Amino acid sequence: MRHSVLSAVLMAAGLAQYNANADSGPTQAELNAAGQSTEWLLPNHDYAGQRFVVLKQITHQNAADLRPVCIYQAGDLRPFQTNPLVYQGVMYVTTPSSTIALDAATCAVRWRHDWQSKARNAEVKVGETVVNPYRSRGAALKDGKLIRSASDGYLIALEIDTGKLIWERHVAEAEKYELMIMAPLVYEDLVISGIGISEYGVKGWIGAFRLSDGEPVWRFNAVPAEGEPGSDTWDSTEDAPRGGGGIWVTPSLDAEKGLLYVAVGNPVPDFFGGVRMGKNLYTAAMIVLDARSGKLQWFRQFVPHDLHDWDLTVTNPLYSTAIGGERRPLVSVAGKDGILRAIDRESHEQMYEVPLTTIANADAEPTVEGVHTCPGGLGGFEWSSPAFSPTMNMLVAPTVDWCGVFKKADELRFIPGQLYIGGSYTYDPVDKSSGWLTAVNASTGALAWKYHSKRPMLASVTTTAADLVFTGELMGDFLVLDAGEGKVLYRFNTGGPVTAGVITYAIGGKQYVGVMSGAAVRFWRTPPASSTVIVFSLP
Amino acid sequence: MTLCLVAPLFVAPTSALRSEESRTGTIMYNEEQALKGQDLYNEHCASCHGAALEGQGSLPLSGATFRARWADDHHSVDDLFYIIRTLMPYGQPATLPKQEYIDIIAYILMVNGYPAGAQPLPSDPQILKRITIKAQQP
Repeated sequence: MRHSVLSAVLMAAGLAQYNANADSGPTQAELNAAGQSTEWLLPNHDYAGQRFVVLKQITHQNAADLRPVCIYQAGDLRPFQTNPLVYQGVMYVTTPSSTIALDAATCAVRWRHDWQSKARNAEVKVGETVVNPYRSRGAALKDGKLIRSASDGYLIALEIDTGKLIWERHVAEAEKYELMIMAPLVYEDLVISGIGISEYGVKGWIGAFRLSDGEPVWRFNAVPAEGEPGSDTWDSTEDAPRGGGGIWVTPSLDAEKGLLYVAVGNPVPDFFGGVRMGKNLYTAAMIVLDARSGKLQWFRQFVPHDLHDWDLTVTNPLYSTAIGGERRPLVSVAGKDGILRAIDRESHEQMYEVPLTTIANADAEPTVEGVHTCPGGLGGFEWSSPAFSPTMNMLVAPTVDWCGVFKKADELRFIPGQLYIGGSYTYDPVDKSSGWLTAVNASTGALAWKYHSKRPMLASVTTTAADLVFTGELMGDFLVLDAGEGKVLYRFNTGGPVTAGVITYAIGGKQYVGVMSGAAVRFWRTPPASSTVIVFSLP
Repeated sequence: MTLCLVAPLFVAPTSALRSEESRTGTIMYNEEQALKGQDLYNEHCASCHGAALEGQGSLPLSGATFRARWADDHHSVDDLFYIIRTLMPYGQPATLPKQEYIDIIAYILMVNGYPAGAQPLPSDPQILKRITIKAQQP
């Protein structure tokens, strides 16, 4: 009887019937301790986004013996950017429309959920194909629920054990290109996510939603509304829309203090700055928010009045290290301007900055004739952050090295539903693009080693207690490198670009590596590929 | 594909337009121009938007998507011209002569069922601004 009443209440509240065990995890305690976990509970492994795993079964000596143990193909040719999660032996991966639970050691499918888009606008859905630029960077897990975004502006919660829908809530105007691309972050009873595409004139924001039903709790406008603090940094005599400030990478979190470190993207129109004079807060800035209230605590802007689409993309890892004999709490910050910076989280001082890609003409404004500039419009740093190695006191960072020509348009025009960038960007020929994996001293930024890739490096990077680095390349190779010297110890071609998660975890005492291989966004000029999970282990 | 549809463009009355097309207010490109545009489309656009404008890893330029994005009684041909000439071809934007962009637009209009007439679509933005892309029925 009691169950029936509960069901009736749930149905009346618009919730699907939910039978999951209330004690299902991961719990808040498990998430808080994720840094020491040999599972993979959060998009960047732990709230601090260190991407360091204490495992050391795979070593310098045996890395060459790795081999694939299972493969799963999701049957999706769209860009595959998921950051997989692993909990209690199950791996959770996402495509733009599907969520799949796999046995993390055998790739056997436990369940699969296919979201049917509710978009009515053909711009968002044509036939069965969603054609807006939505992509999924993953999901979040807590208390028996998996939460993810969908292409039509919905947040959905699925039962972690069965994939059954628990709740759905429309939270963003996808028809207006408010697209939630990032993997959400769950903290206490909040699901935190932001909208990530700026170039259609959207004004970016990040918000929190209740874990139990998706109800909005708070929202912070990355482009201040009229009268809000920072709105006076957008000056113009022309009546042209201004926006940007997309937030497309999962923030890091100081769970002890309840502080979110958020990377905010570029201002819009990208190349036509005359209609947005001023610093254009809080674009190309790190904003630090109270995770429970969404209130701004402090911020630091790195590219005031950006004119090159140089989003800030990375605000992790959070880590502590010795500088001048003193222990300092730092946050690693980077973006498409190609510069890695370390900021003290208490004093807010910048401790160092190091360029990790070619930089040229960075201060030159785009003109109608065009200006060749480095980095180009594709970065720098894209969505994958550096990984921290506490054993080596090292940051290992993937970057894009690809210049191009920025042009300002001869006139500015806002056409709803169309790209609103006020110009154009022409990248250099593909054979002029490349990438770097760079290791620097985490205290000083001093170069330790560099690995050069023939194409941009976009995949995530993971470090281990065995002083190994796991990552992947746009040409399709999964790589294992020696964290001491950057020497490649193992290489395996996965058959498609690796632009997403590369993780490591243990099941039953055995270490595995999960590699996501699949199509890249067409910017990157790669052949078609199918979304594929490949799991590696030692014999 | 919607070749059988008769879906007129609407040209606002203006003394600058003296052609038969402007008097009828319906047609604003000719077949010869559209065929030139087809060759240019195949060279510069088809690899992303598909040989039949169906979208092939990028947005379709025909059918429901074209109707939703452009054929809505609100957009002018100059809006379409602005987006294409400033952003396309993908990766090499703003690199074609303006006349070639106009020819490609003529081809897109033809594929989407707007009937051809005697006069070519002009490249004068002031005229293009006055041509509204009328809504179509699926």
